[in-house]
Amino acid sequence: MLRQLLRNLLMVFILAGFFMVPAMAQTAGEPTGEIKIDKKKLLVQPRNADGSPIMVSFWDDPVLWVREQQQAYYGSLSGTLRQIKTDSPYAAAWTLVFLSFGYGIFHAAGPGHGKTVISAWLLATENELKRGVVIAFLSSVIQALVAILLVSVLLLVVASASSAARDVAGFLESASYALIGAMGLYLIWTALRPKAQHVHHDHRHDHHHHDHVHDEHCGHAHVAEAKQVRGEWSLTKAFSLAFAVGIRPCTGAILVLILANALGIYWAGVASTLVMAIGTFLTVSVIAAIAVYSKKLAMRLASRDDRWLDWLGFALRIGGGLVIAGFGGLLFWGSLGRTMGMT
Amino acid sequence: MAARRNLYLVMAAMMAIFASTPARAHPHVWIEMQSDVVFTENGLIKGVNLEWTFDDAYTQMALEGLDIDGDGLYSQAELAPLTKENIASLKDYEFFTVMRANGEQQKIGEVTDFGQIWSNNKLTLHLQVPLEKPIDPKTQEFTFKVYDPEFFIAIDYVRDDPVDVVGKLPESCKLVVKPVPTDAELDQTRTMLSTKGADWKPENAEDFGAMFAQAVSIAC
Repeated sequence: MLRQLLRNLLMVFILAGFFMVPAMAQTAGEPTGEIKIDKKKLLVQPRNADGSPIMVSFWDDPVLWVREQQQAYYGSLSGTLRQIKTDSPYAAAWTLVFLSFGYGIFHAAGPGHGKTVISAWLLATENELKRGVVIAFLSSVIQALVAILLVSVLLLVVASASSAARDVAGFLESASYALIGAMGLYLIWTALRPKAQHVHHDHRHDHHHHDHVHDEHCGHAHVAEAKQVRGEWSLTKAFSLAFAVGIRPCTGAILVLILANALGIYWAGVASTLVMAIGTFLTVSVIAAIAVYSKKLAMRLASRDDRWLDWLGFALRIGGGLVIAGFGGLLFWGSLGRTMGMT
Repeated sequence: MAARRNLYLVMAAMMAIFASTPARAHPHVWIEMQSDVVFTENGLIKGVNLEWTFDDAYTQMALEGLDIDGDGLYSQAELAPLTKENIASLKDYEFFTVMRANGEQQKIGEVTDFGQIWSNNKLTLHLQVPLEKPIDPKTQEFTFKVYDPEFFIAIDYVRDDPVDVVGKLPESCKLVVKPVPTDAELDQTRTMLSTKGADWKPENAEDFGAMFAQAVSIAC
């Protein structure tokens, strides 16, 4: 069967050969040197007499120049990641865990948590600090679990979708970078969207915007609304409340998980997310406790119009978003070229 | 394999400590090499032939888009532009080939004999690196090493028949291939290096990469 097929093919080639020969003779005269060889294909890059590599100048070939720069950045970035991956995964893991803990603490205490403080204060007036704390704890943990579940499923889907590809690990790495980029864009989006609304609202009712501005923050409704907490107290109710609050995963947690995956230390990402939840829980509980023991302070905290803090948060998210999106995009771009080359 | 990994470790450590050039501590291209010492009819050494077989990743990357007629094969003509460019840039690195006569580094001539062959999904570059002036092995001891001092490219000899002779080897002479360093030898080198200061340099104005490259010589 195969042999027959091959023989037929051979016949076709021979027949075609008769017609092709004159055409070939014509094209053979054309210099093959016209094909431009991509510089990245070279074993080594040409260099100057002093040994420094010859870089293409921007004016000669802007596209190549940009790609060269990008390659250089990608090289150092992924080199650093790989270094961490191979040389000091434990150090990287601990750093991630500690940073996450700090993030959890400061994030919950971050700008614009008036809502949190008010609800904590409301809670306190109902004298149900304990319950608020329980719900804060549950919601923090649920939020962490949701983030872990979400990212794990996402990565599994990506992995199974690319199971045909040989280099699943490489594909996962690319996917991680793409997700990091997407997270950056999301951060920018969340920073811009409420700002747009903010301006919009300013014209009509100046004092309501505060609720909108921070709706997108994770860890917001960490202490559940007093209204919800009041009434019958049962474990089911506590869980459903905590679930309602925690179901929206925190962007920070997702970022940490994706980053950990890119570093090849996903377990550390999971640990970091849980530690982050503990941090968030601690802060929220402290705020609730302050509310109980010092209503006045809580009131003051709640009513303070920290506009500059708003702007700081806005700037941080825009800046951070740009940096994260840029890094993610760059890493993704570079890894794509590499994995494509591999498969 | 363990020996090689150790070698890479030592290399990486060396690069980190001593490198004056911005070195990349991990190899990015792996080459399996066979070489020949080329003799003239008069028994003089003309140069060396190198045959470099590239790793799959580099091969795939390099070949991408070069199958111009789309027949699934990469003919010499299709490979020619890549070969030419590679030879041109390798020239700036003296083809990673260091040839010495009595320890003195020799100038290399123009590389004109080269080509690339693709078969069995492997891409192989072959080239002849000539000496500017032929050497008489009976009066001068000829040695050569092939290595990338920056270790961007890992060049290793194949296990079987790594080096051969082409042309007329004088009867009283023989080819000597220094064996791959053992773990113990690498440890020794490591210990030796650890006792040296930062401004210490290997003999013969060699760089550190040369300390770990397999030497080939003609002994008469």
